[in-house]
Amino acid sequence: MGKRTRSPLSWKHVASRVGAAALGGYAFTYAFTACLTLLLPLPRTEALLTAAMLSFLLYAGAIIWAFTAATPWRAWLGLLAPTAVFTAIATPLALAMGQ
Amino acid sequence: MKESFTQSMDWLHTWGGLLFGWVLFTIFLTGTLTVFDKEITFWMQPELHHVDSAHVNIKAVEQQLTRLGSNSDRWWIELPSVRTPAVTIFWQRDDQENFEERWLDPTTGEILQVRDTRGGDFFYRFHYSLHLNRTGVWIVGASAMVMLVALVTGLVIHHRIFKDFFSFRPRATFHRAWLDAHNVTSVLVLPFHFVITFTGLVIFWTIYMPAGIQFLYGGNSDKVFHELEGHLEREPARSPAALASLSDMERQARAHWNGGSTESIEVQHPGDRHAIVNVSRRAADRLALMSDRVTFDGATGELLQVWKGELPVFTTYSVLIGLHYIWFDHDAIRWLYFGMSLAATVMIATGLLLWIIKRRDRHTERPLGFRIVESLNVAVVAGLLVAIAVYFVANRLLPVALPDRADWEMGAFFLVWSLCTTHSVVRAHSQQAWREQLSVAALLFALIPLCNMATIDSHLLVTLPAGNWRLASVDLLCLLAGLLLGWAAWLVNRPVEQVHPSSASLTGAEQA
Amino acid sequence: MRWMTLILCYNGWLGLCLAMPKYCRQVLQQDAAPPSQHILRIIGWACLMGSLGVSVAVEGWSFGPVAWVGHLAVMGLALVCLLPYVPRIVLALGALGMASVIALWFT
Repeated sequence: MGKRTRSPLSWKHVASRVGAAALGGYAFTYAFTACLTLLLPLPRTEALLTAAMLSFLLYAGAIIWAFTAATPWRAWLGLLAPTAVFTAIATPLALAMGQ
Repeated sequence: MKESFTQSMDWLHTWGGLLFGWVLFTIFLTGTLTVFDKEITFWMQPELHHVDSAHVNIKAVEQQLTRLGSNSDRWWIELPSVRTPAVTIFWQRDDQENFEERWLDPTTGEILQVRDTRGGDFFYRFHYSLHLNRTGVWIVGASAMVMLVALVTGLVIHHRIFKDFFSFRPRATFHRAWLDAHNVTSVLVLPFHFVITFTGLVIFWTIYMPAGIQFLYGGNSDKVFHELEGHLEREPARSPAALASLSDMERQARAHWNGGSTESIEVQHPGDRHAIVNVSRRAADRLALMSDRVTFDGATGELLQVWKGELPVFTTYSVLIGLHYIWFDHDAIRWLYFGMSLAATVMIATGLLLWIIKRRDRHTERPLGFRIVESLNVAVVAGLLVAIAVYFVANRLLPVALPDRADWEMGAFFLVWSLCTTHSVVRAHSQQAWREQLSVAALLFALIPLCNMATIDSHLLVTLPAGNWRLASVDLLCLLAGLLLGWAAWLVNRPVEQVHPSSASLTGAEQA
Repeated sequence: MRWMTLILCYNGWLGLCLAMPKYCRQVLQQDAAPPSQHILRIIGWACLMGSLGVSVAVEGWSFGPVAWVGHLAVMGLALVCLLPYVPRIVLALGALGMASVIALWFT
């Protein structure tokens, strides 16, 4: 592990990063999945299933990315900024499609 | 926290694996048993051992349901299969949430008096919900995500994945031996680990990732499944009409499946003019867990719909969940799944032990966190094994007529598991706790076939000469588990110095 | 035929295993230079692919690959467990298995 060579972990940083991975990652995946479901040019049940199945791989990727980002704050930013964008796309789309 | 990519992956693998490892171990061990859930249920219902399912008399079953479910709005008939000999009927009363359930003799339609037990279904429910309902499903989902991440991070931090592909050095240092065992059970079985974890998440997509349902269906997941599976529904007409012959409809339905057999018959609004009958095909000969369905008008017997899932993504999805459920009839694949699933369970257990082994030499005194991890390891790994054995024994030893018998069986399981947890905390040395719990588990598993001989007439001495492998396998596997656990207990018990004087072992540091 | 899939998987792993010098020394219990690594590797891969072929031929494209992955995992684990305890028997098992497959093939 070579843990002793590292500086002691700041628990705030660890908690923030875990939060970014779990919550930020989920929000990001959720928004992306919603967007993908609405945008895929497939029959709607097919689009729904495609996006849902891919979401778990995406979430795993998001979690891993959150742990490789340079700082916890960058992890939060990197996940929540696209979340906002995808939500901004998906919400009016869903309204336009009658839901 | 991060000096390099690999180090952060190592951190994630270590701590994610530790915190979720205990839950994952229980999920994988109960999942391993769920591979044979129907066989376990059959074993636990000795009253069904002599039932002959060669001929199914649907007419007699229908008469039974007409009698029992007269004031119910929904009937459900499950026909016998290779894995379950009896016909199972369910009906739902208008005013009740739960289904009533009975087992019928396929030939005569008579009700079979079967002991009240959850059978293998107990492990199945534990596997996906830990018997904690929706909360449990979420815990299992979170664990599965951690597992998926642990698989990826594990690959990243395993530097010598190809160089050490076949390395297992049980006689090397303790750390080396356990790490090898962890690596080998991970790498060689990696496709299985990945597929089973991913498909496990996909099964519960409506709960875990309902984004599309929210945005496209206003959050109504029932609507999604109606659309996916093309269900026909109609409101009851509230005017009575006799039900047309179910056996005729079943025969007609089979004509659409070139050789496929019927799994279930569902009747909506029986006795009403708007009754609907759904006959579903058993997905026995395909990976995809997708039941073709033929729908009839219940009153006239007229064919309303022939449904087959044909959309490509839906088929892919059905194959994925089929790979997890393995409800198809393929004994070889079932046994291979059992083996691979066991390897996954061993992988998780070795991972949990590695956390201790890596850190043990660094500490001369035992910090509290360390003690907690050691106790939990014993309670979860050995304690769960004891509890499982007790569940099997309870099935045979509890009086057949005991009221709420199934709850007592489950109660025995959870009671013994909590006793084991207490024991692992109370015992000062985790080596002692390991030895004692493993010995008890070994003894109990070895006792199971003997309990059988004492209480029922389809035990090993009968089933083996008769070549009844479906029953004999359960007894034989229990015996084997007993032997292996006894061996494990002996290994723990071994004086450490004789085995490896130079290196600390699982227990060496504790005696210091 | 399942026997053939199993044996081909085992021998495939064995070939790949022997192609690596450190395992080759472990199996032969001496410091002899391993026989041509290149050929062993080819034989190993050929056996693994052959087992996939047999599995698919017997079970079709749906169950075949699934059963094959299972056989791979279980035979791989079996080989790894035998290696440290009975390194010499590992080779004998491979040879016997191969002989039985050939015998079955011609009967």
